[in-house]
Amino acid sequence: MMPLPRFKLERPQSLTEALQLLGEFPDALPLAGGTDLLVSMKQGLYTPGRLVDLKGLKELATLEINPEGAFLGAGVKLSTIRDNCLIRERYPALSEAAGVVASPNIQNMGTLGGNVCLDTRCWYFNQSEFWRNSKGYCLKKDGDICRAAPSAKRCFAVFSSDTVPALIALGARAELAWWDGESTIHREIPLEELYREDGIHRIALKRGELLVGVRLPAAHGIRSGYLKYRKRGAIDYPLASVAVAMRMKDGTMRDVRVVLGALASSPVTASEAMELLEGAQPSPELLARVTELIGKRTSPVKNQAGSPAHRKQMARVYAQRLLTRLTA
Amino acid sequence: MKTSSFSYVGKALPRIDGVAKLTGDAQYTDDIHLPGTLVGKLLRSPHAHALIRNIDVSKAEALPGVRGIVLGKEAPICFGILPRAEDENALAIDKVRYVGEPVVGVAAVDERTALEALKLVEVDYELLPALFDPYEAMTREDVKIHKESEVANIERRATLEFGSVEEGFAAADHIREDTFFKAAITHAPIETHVALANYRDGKMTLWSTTQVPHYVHKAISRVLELPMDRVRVIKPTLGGGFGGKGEPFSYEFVACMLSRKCGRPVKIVHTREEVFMSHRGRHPMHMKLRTGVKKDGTITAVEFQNLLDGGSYGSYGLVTLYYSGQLLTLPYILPAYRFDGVRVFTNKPACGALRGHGGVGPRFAFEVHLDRIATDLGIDPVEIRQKNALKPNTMTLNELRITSCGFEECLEKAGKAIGWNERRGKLPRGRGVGIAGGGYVSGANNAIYFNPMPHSSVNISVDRGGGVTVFCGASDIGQGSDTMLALVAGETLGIRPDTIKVISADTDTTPVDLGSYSSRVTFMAGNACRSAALEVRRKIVPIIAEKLGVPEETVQIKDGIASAQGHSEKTLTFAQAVVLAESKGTSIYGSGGYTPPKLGGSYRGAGVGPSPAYSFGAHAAEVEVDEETGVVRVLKLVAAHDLGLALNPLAAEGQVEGAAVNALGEVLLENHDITDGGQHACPSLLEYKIPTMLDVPDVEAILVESVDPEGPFGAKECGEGSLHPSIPAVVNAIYDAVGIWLHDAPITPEAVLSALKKGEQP
Amino acid sequence: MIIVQMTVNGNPIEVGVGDEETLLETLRQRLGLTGTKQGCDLGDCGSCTVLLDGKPVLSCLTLAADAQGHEIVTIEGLAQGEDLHPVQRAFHEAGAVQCGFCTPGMVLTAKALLDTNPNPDRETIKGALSGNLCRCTGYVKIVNAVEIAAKVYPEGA
Repeated sequence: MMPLPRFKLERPQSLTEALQLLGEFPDALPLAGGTDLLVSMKQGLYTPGRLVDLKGLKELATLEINPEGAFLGAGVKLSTIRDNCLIRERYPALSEAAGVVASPNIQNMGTLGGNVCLDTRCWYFNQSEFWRNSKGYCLKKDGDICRAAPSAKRCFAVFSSDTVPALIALGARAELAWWDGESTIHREIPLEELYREDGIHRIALKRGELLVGVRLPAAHGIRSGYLKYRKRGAIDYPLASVAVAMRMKDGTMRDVRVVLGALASSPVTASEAMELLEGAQPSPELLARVTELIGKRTSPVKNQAGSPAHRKQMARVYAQRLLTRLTA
Repeated sequence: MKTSSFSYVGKALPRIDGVAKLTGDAQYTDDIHLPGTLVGKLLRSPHAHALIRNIDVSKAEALPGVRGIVLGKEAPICFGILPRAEDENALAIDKVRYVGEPVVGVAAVDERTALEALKLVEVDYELLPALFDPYEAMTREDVKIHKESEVANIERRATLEFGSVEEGFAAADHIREDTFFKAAITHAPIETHVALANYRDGKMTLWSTTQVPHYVHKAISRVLELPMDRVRVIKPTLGGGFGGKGEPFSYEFVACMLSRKCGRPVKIVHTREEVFMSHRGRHPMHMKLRTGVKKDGTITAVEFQNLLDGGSYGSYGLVTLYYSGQLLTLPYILPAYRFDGVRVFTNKPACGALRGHGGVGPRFAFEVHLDRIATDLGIDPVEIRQKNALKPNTMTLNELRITSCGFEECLEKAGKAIGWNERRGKLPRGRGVGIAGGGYVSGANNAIYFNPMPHSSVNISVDRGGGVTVFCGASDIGQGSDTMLALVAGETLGIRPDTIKVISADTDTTPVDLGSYSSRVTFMAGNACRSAALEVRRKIVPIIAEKLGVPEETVQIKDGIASAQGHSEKTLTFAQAVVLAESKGTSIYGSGGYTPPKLGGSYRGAGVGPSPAYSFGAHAAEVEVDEETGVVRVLKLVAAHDLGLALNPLAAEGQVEGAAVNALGEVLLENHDITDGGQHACPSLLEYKIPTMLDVPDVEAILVESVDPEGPFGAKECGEGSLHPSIPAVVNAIYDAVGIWLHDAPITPEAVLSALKKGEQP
Repeated sequence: MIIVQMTVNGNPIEVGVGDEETLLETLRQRLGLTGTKQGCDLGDCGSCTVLLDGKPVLSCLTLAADAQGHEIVTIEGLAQGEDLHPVQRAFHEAGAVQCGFCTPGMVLTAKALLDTNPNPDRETIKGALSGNLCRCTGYVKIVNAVEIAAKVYPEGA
């Protein structure tokens, strides 16, 4: 057994109470589905003094889908996202992404919020205390160099969420909340602004701030999809992934969004590719040219299964396949 | 004997322990709870190669809740599964040789305290240069992993030569040479290793997740210096082995040492990472093959060089080394053959035996090599295999006695099922089919330590209610050997197998069986069981005949009811017969054993390879290769396996399907790799990629019955040999799909893309 | 210590658990329900799967305290006396059990699938069970068993 380190479990009855706890205790971490955090805690990667248990908070359980858009509470289970007919119909990229997170049983536990705030991952980090001690600690935990890229000054742990590339492609905004000592303050930002290209300081949340949910714009006319490369058909995190959303108007591609996952420490918007696609008519030649631009500015390092070059190549092939499928 | 003449043999029999496993009743080692049990933990070395200067446990001892700490020097007697390679200690004494080697054992009142105590132990190490590359280890005289090695870090060099190799090559029309590499894989049973030891009144009882209770019994007795009759080893229900629980391990000794020290039961449960570090899996093999053939594909000579990366200890490695050379003479006729093999030590977890032991790497290499030769000559891969196929009732040139052999039937059936003639070379680019053959031992003819005793023994007792109980040391590790024993006893006695009780793998109550390794149990324990059941029959039939007033030879028993041929009105239940027998003052029992016939040559190394029977197989695969991503998908896999006779087709198919899927993981996904610092590269079931349901096709198992003259009812092995051919079948299918040859397994998408890009052959 | 009230295999239970205790620890160590297996303790293998309000979840990554107010079903809770649940019976007869260590998780995941989709095709079955690793069977007979169980599946089994 790998016992969890000791902590005090806080079980707030309301969002306000949860935010108050997170604001009050600097050593507290929020616990959603637990499928990532508890694993990391068993490996000794995090030893919070308190866990603020978000399970059952009804403010996080909202699932509203209407013609104007959607609001998906952070506490909604991934399997609910995967199975919801309206999401599948209007935001297929999100449904597809939720359906390939880890395994079906984990999708029954993991939440959308947990996946959106998922920790970055690296071979040298996601290991037991014994292993890290033996290998030498890394920048992200207890060490002073990046084991994957020792000459670099930063951490290259990989952004590994499946739902986020899909959500960003679909134009999602994140609703955040914190307790300022007197009242709950809400703010909403484009989801992509939540992430930083840094494996350690990966997420732009203030201390004590919590993701309440994700807002999606109207899906009118949007086509979208998500493809994930992993070694096995289940269980694995992505080694490369692509989400695409677009509209087709008069035979041309509009509002094209191409977002890559698992190639950097944050989701990567493939802006060069998007520029080339925007307003253009799809053709095999164009898609081939676009494919060349995919992942141009990303430089993954060897810290996951599979070579960095191959992971990039997979993103290109999958982008091309997804674009071909969506423009057909 | 034809299957149809049997009452139970040849029909699907659900496992006799199936219901217990399905309801949660089955007790695995970790499910056993004794009052007052302490939690044992092992402190493991973080270094790949280091001297231990000092171990200070004073702070750990002072921690409240710690009940006992043991060190290697408290049990200095070495152990090892092979008598010629007893090179391990219960805990490292002055040196550690791999990352993860156990150094200190701690027992505490609970898990968290035990883990806390490990952190307080101070070990002073003096680091030594660590060797991870076997080629380097072979020549580094200045770094000795074991001081006993005469040349650098070579554990053993094995050479074999049969026939005139030079003449064979001289007579060849075509000679081909290829090199191959097959990486390590590990067993990954879903149950981790667990031991529960209880030392009471001078007697040690050890419940352990072992495939070899008898060898563990011997080893515990020796290392703990307790007479064998003061040691009892019990294997509870076991959650998978595949060879990974096939020898004595540190944790078993340490649990016993701690229990003796603390006077309380001690349980040690391995984490998944510890299982990866314990390993004893497939040896990485660096192989070179050279083969001469006539224009028509007839093999004239084979030369095989194999470098085995053994890791830090001997384990089963000497057997692996010899198997890798000896078993290459199956399933094709080799008129001349030379083998040169070396096993070297490196600072990695020790390699040992894993399902298909010894033969898997060479089989992968040879079957791909053979396809390349066929391609060179323009001969169909099935045809070249038929041309060279081994025949029944022959002798290989290294003196392996072949009795039953259904290899050609396997080839034919696998080819037919995959649609060979219609599809080979005829599918659209990106799709292809491939085929490969193989052969494997049905148990090793020689025990691991020399002794004149039977390899397996069975006692059968019959109670007054007519109940039959089989006692046997054989270890059901999930493969279903308990059910096999019930079936063999039931068929012999005429009692429904699902009513028979089996008590197995308990050294106090069951007679010795050597254990579950080298695919020996059905053949050897099955024969022992049949012989014990025949003795029961010999005792009870005269009583039945007397009561019914018929000649003995007319007595028949079915479903527990005895009757006489031609006199169906005269019946007696088995239970009534037992009561009659007992009233005559004799309780009914039977006892039987199995000792293999004396086989094999007299040359050095001749002891490894001989078996009372060999299984044969041919597998055919259909693959799809994505030329943009390099990803290979196996769409279909047909596994035709000659198992002599399917005692229980349901169980036999399950063995073949499971072995083939294990092979698919091995060829496409799994790599038990070690980092440049000696740490396991992927010590979790997340990063070590055993196949999920979505990664493999529905394997089609075809059971070929050659009816072995010496097997129980004609049966021989089916759980290990059925792994070998799948690996090369997939590689050969990739060639058919996209025209590339891959010589390194596992096959990664990167390697496929790189080969496609180069367009050239290795 | 947190007092947790939950229903386990139909029986209301009140048990004190540690803050950092997983449901797997509670079931195996406090309640003696050792049918739930620990294969990796990190959410990778699926052998600790139990049903929480009818849905398969991994008990090694569920805090015991979070079972408060929920219905838990473990492998011990499927059979009615000596009558095996249809999924158990099918696993037994189809040869889907070998070492049996993944079996409780497989059976419970399969039951949950059939409870919501009594007629899944082979691909659906494989998808639903893809988080449950088995090293023995090669999966063929497990999928067969779920198909067989589906054929006799009663309403609300």
